[in-house]
Amino acid sequence: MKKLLTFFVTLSIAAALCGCAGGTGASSEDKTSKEATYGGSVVVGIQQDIDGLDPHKVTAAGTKEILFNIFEGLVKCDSNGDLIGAVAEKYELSDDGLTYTFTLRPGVKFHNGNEVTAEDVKYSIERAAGLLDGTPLVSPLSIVTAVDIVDEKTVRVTAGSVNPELIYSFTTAIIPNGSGEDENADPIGTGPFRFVSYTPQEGIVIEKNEDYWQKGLPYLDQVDFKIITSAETALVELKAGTVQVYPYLTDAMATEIESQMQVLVSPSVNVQALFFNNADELLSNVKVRQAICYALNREEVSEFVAGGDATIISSAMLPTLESYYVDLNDTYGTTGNVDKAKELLAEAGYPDGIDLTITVPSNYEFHMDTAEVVVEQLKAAGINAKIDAVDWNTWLEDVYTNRNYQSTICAITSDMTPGYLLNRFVSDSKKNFINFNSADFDAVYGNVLEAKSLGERGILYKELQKILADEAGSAFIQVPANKVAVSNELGGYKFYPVYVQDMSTVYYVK
Amino acid sequence: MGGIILLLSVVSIFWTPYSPTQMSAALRFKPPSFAHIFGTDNFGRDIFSRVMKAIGTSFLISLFVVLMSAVAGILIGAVTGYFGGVIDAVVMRVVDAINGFPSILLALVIISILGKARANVVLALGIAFTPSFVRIVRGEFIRLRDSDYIVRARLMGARKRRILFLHILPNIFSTFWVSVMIGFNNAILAESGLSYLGIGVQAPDATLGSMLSDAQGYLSSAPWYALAPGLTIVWMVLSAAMLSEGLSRKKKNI
Amino acid sequence: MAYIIKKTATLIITLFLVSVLAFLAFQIIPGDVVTSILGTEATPEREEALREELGLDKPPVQRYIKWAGGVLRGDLGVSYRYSKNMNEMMPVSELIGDKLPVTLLLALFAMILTILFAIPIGVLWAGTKNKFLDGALNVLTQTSMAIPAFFLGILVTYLFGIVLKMFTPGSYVSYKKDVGAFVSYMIFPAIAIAIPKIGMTARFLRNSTLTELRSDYVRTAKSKGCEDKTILFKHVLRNAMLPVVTFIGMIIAETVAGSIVVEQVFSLPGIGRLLISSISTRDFPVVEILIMYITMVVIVVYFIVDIIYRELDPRIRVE
Repeated sequence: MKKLLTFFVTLSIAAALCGCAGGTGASSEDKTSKEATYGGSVVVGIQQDIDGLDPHKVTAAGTKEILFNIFEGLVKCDSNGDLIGAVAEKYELSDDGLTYTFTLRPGVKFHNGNEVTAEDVKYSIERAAGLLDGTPLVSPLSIVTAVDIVDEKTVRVTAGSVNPELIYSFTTAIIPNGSGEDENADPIGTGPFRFVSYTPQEGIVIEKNEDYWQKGLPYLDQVDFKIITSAETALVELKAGTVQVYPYLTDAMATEIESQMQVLVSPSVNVQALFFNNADELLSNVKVRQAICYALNREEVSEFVAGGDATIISSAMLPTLESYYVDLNDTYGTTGNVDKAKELLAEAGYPDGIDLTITVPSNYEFHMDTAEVVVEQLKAAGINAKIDAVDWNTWLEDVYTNRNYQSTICAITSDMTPGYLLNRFVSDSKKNFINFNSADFDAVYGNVLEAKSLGERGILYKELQKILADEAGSAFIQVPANKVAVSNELGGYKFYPVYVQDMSTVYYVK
Repeated sequence: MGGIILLLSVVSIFWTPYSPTQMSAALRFKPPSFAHIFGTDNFGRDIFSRVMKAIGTSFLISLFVVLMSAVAGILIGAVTGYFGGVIDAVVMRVVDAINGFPSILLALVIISILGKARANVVLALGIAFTPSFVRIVRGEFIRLRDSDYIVRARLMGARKRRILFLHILPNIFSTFWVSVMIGFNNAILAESGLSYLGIGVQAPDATLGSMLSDAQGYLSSAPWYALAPGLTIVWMVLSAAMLSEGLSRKKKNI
Repeated sequence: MAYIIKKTATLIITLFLVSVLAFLAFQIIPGDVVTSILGTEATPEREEALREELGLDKPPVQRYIKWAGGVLRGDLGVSYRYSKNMNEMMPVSELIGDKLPVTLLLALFAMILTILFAIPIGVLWAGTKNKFLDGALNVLTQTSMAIPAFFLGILVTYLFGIVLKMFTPGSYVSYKKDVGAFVSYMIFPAIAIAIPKIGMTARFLRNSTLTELRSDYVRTAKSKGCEDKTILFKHVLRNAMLPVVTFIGMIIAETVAGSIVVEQVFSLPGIGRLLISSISTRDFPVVEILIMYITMVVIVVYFIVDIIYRELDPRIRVE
């Protein structure tokens, strides 16, 4: 017996489980109903160069947020964080949770004018899952064992094991059959915009897809994503009107630009923390880790670096994922407790204080600023911290890959799956760069894998957060807000609970 | 003029008006006033105190860079210039190669071999600066090696080391001195350039270059933040330049 | 002829050394290009496949020989980082070919500005008997040389961009799109590069003019009753310009080799910025070629200056 889930049902489940960033009230999304007009072009400032044009291979969040406009999966995320059908109209999940049967939406066309066929879908999923050459390009899809064409409108995907969060990975782009091997292929998808050109160090240009399946979208004729590497330049360009949308305002920039533009605020998906290397001789002592957690005045940090526009957290979960998040800020307080910190250090055998090295990726000014404040705060508790600023690739190798560091300040960018932030702290996880090693945590995580429903998982995820906070695996700091500058002439900008710059709903107001 | 710089950097070892790292949310971005003559930065730190500390740091680093590269330049330049031949050809190619090598990459290499410390910033810049000294010293040695008094010394059977360092070296000092001063200026500029690009001395310790780089983000809201370290660099370099000009004039008069 | 052959041999040896040094540097500095490209989420299979694709699974010496062989055959390789389209990476030659005109034009504009201002200032300075003007020019030129490139960039941005609003910093327009807008933007970074060069060249010209003025032939001309102005413009300047040519040559070499900092401050997509970003993304093929290019420019320009010098001044040829 198969259970039929239309998207109507899926939608409500996803809404309940995924939470929705847009609806928490913390976001100041542009909801005023202004009259939309069609046409026009917009320049969007982006911070980093893109890392590729192959939607299955790119890894940088800064690239994915742009390619969202060009490519679509069988399903896609909407601005509430819910999954809606895109290339697929609906899907069925078998009772054993292993087989997904997708029904394709009729009349969806690629940018080259061809209609999407079952072959294209089969090819795309097989390519991303590594069934073509043994190299999975999208990690969670590696549990997919077979993709079968049932008929010309139906594709069946079989997974080797149950993972209730797998459906999120079917947002993987559908591309024309064979285009991943074609040497001269321009990026072709089914999204609201088609690819026009890419110039390294300058930017990427996209234009309206006239045949887009969502009628009435997009509004704009052209969008120019322009690389602007310095915040100051971005500010000047915003003021001069040569850039109309800029999604990464710093606190100082936001204050300065407010009078001239709309500044929209919404929680981000970045979890910032002072991560400890739990295998370090000094930091393997839980009391030392707790002492540092106590010594941090996280509210002051947030005030200095984010202008207070941040949610203080004490464990690894996005507060916007409401059904999974548990507020643990009472564990260490949020304003710093120097006496308690000193006391714990003395108990741990360091009455005279400790030395601590904090490795920080120097290209992230936000983390560098945070580090400067943290160093100053730790001083009061007798912790003599120093900053080791390294370039991003050195950080990746020394800190992330080789785990050769003492502590680091950085942020983990979450995706939509609720387990994303927690599964890395299992002691043998490849992603456990903090060397967190807790038998309790591992045991509860074992139960998570057994749990067949997202509801069951939710309860266990809360337990995991508590263990991580109590054992002070790391000193979690905040989830800073995203601040986006949008020209007064524009309307319809939507926030997503994931990294996405959806330009399809943006329009010029009359 | 240069005296004030020296004085400030010496005083900064014992005393600054405020702690250079003390933060205060209430004092962020205060424009210059009597209390904070250069204003405050994005953390409410006193910019004057930070500039004082930074002058000392930049000054010391530049001094050691010049010392190191000048000594290396003399040794290498003397040998290659005097002896010529294969050694000269090989060494000069290496010198050319280093010349074309971006100092940032060089700094990254040295820092990753030896770790991050001020001494290694000095080493990286020192290596980058050596080729120009080698060229000058080598040129002078080539000019002097066939001059009459050296030929005479050689005929009298003076040992090579004696000829190199007792006969020729003192004669090139006047030319060399000017390039040392120029080198010092360039070292100040290069050090600030490196820390501007985020390589070099670590935060929260201030250097003039890193302060400028931070300040750039607040140029329109807090222009004083960028001006203070920027003008200080100009002032430092200018006073060193004036000093070297004075010296070379004095030399001409003699 | 023998001279040219010798110089060319020198150039080749130096380029070889530079390429080896850069290769070694990339062996030493931390940062694995595979992790850099794939980020933190990739499967081990994917990492393995990419490592193989880039040839990083081979021993270093073999990799160097393969790379050098390619370069000798005119194949500069492909970038690790920049895509050309969905599946192909950008060939290094195409990437640099796209960025080089920006840097070259910037150097050209800076040079024009330098010559336009430095020569009149230098001549005026050498000819003046006004103590005040002499002192003022001395301080001005010294100061212009004391400003670090990035601070000068910031100052130009602030003054012309933010205060006077003569241009919008960052609003660079490609020369392919709109030549007028390109030129009117490039003026400002060119000013930032030119200011210290104007100072240096003017000082240099003044000093060499003064040296010439003290020489015997000037005294002879004076005693023959030639006017000061005639002497200055007809005789002295021609000779005084000789060292200035060398000097300007060096300046060209310096700017053509990439104005890393100025390109950074003004967000120009030139080769200086490409070099910095390629070092930080560990894009070895791009860095390697850029470093060789910079070395080559410097050596070749010095070489040309040397030849011009020989042609202009017979005394050197005799030596």
